[in-house]
Amino acid sequence: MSGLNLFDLMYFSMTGSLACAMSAALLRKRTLSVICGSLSTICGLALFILIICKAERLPLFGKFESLITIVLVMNILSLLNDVFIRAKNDISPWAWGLNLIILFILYFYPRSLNPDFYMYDDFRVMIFFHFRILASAVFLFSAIIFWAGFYRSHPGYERRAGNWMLTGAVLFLISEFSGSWWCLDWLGDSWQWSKGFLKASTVFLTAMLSCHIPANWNMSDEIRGIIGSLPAAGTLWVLFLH
Amino acid sequence: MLQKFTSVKTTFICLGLLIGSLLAGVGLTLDKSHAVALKSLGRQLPLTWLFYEAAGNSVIATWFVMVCLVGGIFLIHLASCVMLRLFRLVQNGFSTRQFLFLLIHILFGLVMICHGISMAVGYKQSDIKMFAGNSTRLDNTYKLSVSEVRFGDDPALLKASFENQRALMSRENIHREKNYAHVTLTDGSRILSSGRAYVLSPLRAGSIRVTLTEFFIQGDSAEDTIGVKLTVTKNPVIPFFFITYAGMILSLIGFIVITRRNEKMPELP
Repeated sequence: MSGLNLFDLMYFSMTGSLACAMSAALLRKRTLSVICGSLSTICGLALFILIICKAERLPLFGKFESLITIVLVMNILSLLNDVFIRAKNDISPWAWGLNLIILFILYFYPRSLNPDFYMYDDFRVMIFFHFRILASAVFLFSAIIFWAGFYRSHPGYERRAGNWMLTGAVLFLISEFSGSWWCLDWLGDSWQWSKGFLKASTVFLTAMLSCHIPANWNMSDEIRGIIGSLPAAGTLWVLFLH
Repeated sequence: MLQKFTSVKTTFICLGLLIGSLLAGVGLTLDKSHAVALKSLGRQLPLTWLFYEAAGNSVIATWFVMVCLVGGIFLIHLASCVMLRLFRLVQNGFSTRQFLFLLIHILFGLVMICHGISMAVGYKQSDIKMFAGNSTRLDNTYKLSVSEVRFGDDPALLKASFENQRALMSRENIHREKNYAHVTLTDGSRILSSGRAYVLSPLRAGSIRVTLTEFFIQGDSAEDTIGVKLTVTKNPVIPFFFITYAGMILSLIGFIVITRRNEKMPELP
């Protein structure tokens, strides 16, 4: 079986089991939902490992590699949150809903690896691209916690979402640090006055913005949620719109 | 007045303005002439660009000054917050979490200062096209000479369009260790540095870097028509920038770990 067919097989298994998990969650069958969600995560992990084996590098770029990583990370985080940490409220149905949308979008794009650009073997390049994807997944997870918590009145959801957003910011900063180092050795300077650099800077600044919402401002939860979701939207913008 | 300036409300407004001005920059690049002006800004020291080339595109010049202005106000605000609010917070009751909270802000300020200094101090000249045997004088001080250009992979790859290069310049086709330029940088009669510059492995002389950004081919695919694009930069704050940047990330990691360990801690201002 060729690599491409295996990619398809894994993708459909991942999507199918996630759809079952989502359906079970909607029918309030928690155990079945967790089992199917775990199965989808295992398929995602297998696909992730397959990408690494075929490409001989981490998933770095493009819709297929990026979105599979994002879905996998969000699946793992939501399962950790719901099953192992035993948080009071489930996040996974929300994460699975979003992941299903992402996987549905991915259906319309080729499920194949990116051209293997010769700089991809440099560890700084790998960290730059891969951590940017990880940051995007964690920012999305943070946004999910916020919106799920808001609609279901989870206690302390804003703080939990904020903690995850800071984690996403760390991952994003590691990516940017590595990217600056790569840029220094490739283009002679750690900063470039280009669209890409300006966009990346706004992502970090939006994360800072949501950490600095004045407590005495009577901002509605919806507005807070929108501000808290900006880093997630920003990283997706940086990843997929050039 | 000072209390208002150091409030979280001002931080929020400053951040909003900074985001807005950077997004405006992204928007401006949709126009080709503005994108070209922005590229020109990146090819040299921004201060040099401001003095000699900014008049060529007043929109980008205005935007750039605005970004610097907003960034400057934000930096002053950050410094005021650190001195008038955050220091006091640590003084009133020291904890590792509060210390890290303060440290993140100080290091972020230092990273911003490094960015500011990099825009005004040092030297930068990009896209210097050179062939083997060429020399050029930089800034009336340094002389850059290329004695050898060696491209060990298929020269046809260099003729591919920008779009196709991503696909063609694969790990299988391009071997960085085979491709280099032998470069000599002199200051008067004194040789500052001499050696091979590879892609991603520049030639260094103190804070001066001679970076090989790409190979190009002129005319037919004969070996002797392959040239290199070099960028010469002198940035004395680079090591300090990376150290403070790494410090900021580490302190943020520490802050998150401590915060997660005790979710019931009181809110920081």
